Amino acid sequence: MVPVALLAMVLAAGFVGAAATAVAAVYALRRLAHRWEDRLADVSGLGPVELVLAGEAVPVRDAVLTLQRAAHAVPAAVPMESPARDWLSQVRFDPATLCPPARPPRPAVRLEVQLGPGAVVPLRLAFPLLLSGMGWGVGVSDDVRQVLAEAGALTGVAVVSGEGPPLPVELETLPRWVWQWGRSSWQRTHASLPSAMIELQVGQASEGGTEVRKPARHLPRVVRRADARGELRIAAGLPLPLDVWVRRAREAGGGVPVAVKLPASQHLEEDLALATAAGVDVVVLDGAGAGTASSPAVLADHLAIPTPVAAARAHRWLTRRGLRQGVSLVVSGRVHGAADMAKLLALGADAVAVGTVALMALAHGQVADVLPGRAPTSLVLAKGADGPRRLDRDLAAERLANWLVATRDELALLCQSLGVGDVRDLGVRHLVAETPQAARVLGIAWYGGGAPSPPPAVPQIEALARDVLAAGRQARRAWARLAAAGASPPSSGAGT
Amino acid sequence: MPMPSGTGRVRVVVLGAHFGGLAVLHWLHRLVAKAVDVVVVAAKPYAVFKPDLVFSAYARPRFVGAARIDLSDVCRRLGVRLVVDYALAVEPDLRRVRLANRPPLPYDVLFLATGMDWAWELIPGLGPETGFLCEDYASRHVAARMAGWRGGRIALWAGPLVQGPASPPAPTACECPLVEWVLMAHGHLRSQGRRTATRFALVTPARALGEELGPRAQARVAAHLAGAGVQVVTGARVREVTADGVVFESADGRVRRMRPDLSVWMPPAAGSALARRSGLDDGWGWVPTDGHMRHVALPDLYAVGDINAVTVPKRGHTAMVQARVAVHHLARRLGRRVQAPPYRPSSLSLLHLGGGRALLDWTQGRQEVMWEGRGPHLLKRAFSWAYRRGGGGLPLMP
Ligand SMILES: Cc1cc2nc3c(=O)[nH]c(=O)nc-3n(C[C@H](O)[C@H](O)[C@H](O)COP(=O)(O)OP(=O)(O)OC[C@H]3O[C@@H](n4cnc5c(N)ncnc54)[C@H](O)[C@@H]3O)c2cc1C
Repeated sequence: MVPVALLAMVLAAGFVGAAATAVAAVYALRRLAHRWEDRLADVSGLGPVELVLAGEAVPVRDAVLTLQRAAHAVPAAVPMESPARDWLSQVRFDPATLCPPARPPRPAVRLEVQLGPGAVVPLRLAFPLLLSGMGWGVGVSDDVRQVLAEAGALTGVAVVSGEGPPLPVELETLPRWVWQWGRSSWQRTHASLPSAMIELQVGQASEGGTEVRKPARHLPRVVRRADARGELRIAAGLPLPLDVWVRRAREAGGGVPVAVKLPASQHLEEDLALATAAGVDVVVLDGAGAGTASSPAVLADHLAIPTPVAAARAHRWLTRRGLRQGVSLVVSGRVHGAADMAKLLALGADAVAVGTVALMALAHGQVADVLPGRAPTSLVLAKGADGPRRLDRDLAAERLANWLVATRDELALLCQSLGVGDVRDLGVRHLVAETPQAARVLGIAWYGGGAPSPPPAVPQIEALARDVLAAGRQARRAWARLAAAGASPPSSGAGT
Repeated sequence: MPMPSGTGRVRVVVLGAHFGGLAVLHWLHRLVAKAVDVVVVAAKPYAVFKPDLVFSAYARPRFVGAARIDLSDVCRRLGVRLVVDYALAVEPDLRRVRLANRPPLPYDVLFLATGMDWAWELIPGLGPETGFLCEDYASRHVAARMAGWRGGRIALWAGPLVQGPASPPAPTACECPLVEWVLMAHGHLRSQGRRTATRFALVTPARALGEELGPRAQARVAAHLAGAGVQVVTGARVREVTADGVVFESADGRVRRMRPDLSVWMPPAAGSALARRSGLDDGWGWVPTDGHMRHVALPDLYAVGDINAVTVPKRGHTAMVQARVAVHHLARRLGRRVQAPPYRPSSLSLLHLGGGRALLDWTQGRQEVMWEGRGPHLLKRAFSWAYRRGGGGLPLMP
């Protein structure tokens, strides 16, 4: 009997204890909730909640820049791209359906383009992409420059030098190396270099044409020696009148195209008029939000008009002036992949240039090695070159080459889905806008109706006619195959 | 030769630091170290031991790391100043070299060892993106493609060599690496039981494959390729490379199209743009020299290796022999009592055959010595190891 009574007492005590604990917990939680409720209403004592609310109102980027300014009393800067209105995400492609139908993978879509067709030796790209100017020591490390050169060579795209000096191995490696003749103090005395195109750098979206000073610490020794002032000065304005500059570049280039790089401005038509009058072969427009290594955020976040708008307007202007066949158009700024590329090409660009996304691609597989202690950019930017972890060049070059190959193939896939056999035939008729604003701004059809499709220009009509004829030929061939049912398909491999 | 004021030492500049340039540095160190101040200009801070690039047939992409030779280390050992820069032009009248990033570099004696140039532009649509073997990054990329290989057609292409009329005729610069590559890839795939999923073709403009070899070695190579089931197309002229395949004209005049899943090129080769820009060439980019590798018009300028008009086939061994000839000649001019016989063309080839075997072939005039088996394989491995360890120098230099 005694053990049973004992057991009952223990159980009862346990039950009472558990019940008391539960009641106490509920009571404590309620007290806490009441206190939080009171504190939420009390503006003077929000504590951590304040952070959440402030974060909603003040974007993290602004907060970081504010803290930077407060800490160092110099213009704040954040590397890579800046925010800008994303028109491209308001654009979709109009798939090929019955006429013309989507294309089979063979024959392959022609992706090759030429820049500066009027030059003695135009720049031939295996597909319409350039790795944009990210200078050695000015922007990125020597390792990154070599990676860009190797990946560029392995995929047939051009690589722009940026405002840094040429890394010697680039000159040896790259048949499509573009020398950017900029406004930096050391470059004014620079000898002419063997390049596939010369790009005169008047400005870029993240800085405009403003004077910029870069600390010499991360510059290659050759620049430090050439520019004894202890810093690199990228001067405001043009080093020479534009027509003289173009003429000098033409003499130095020995027949390669001469390009001019400008921030995409609201007055871009005037810029185009001046540039084409000076005789440039290629115009490069750098749109809002384009990446940078260290431009002042007050400029990078607020200068220039968006890339797709610039592409559409520049294309329209060149076409109206009858200059479209002779002058090539390259655009850059917030281009992230094949879809962006295809949209910009359809809006009128002949090629696009990418920077930030290439750096992301090449760093893939190595970022985890620097986190959490260091920023991922320490792997790629010049100022990280003296850090403890160097970029694995072989891995990075293969990653970037992979990304370029995938992007090329995605571009071909998009063209197939649009029934386009030559990337140069992409046009606004392949695009549809998701919003009436995008339709109006970019001059394309809105799928909600209302905004009518813009009338196709003559070359577009010709392209359409070519597509229709090609579709007809394909259909006839298909019928012929059906008629000869049972015949074996032609063998692949060596054959006539 | 004008002696400089000051140190009283002759300022020697060596352009290029691969087979030819490195051998020049080692010979200068051995013969005339005390009489010269040497500067070597190289476009990258490392040299690449190119014969090992054929291992992309089966090795992991990282293998290229082992083929690189750190030049700063070599130069420290030899007491040479290394300048990593790109030579834009030689100005022989002013006796200086124009560089991309530095003030011009003066010299009393110049050794040109910058090799030949890849002439991509000779074939429409051809470019480094088509796939090739001849640089470290290119071979690494081929290895990366092979690492994920599932089967299909692999085509190996030898590009033509563009020579001037004064050079010995040769259809290609050097086909042997392609032969080595295809035999090793064949052996590797077979050892993994995956050989049947892959078809190999080797296409060359030469009338017979391996014209750079002696007749006995040529016959052995042909037998090995036939045994490995490699389709060999000779006398081919590639017209165009497109996304839909390579269009070429075969010896019988038929135009054919091949659609390989992977192409590996020894690209077309042409003379040096640097020599052309500097007005040092024979009109075709090759530097004409006398028997001591001395420029026919500029006595203080030597050209060794692939850039020299007489070098056929384009071989590392030949570059090393020419470096010996040239530096011995300079040493004699500087008063050293050494023999300085002129260059006698010869060709030494050591080909990996896969499966731990190799073929050694030496030819001079009509003479040919051939040796096939495990011995040459071990020899080639040993050479590679010693060359890389010695920074381009060997205890016994050829
Ligand atoms: C895949 C492959 C395998 C081979 N296998 C063999 C083999 O087994 N046996 C054999 O004997 N041969 C072989 N060869 C051939 C051999 O590699 C070449 O013949 C040899 O490298 C030639 O040496 P070089 O010094 O004349 O020129 P290169 O090797 O071409 O060297 C040129 C040097 O000059 C530098 N340079 C070029 N231009 C400039 C400039 N403007 N400014 C500064 N520097 C510059 C380059 O960076 C490099 O350092 C092979 C070649 C290849 C591609």
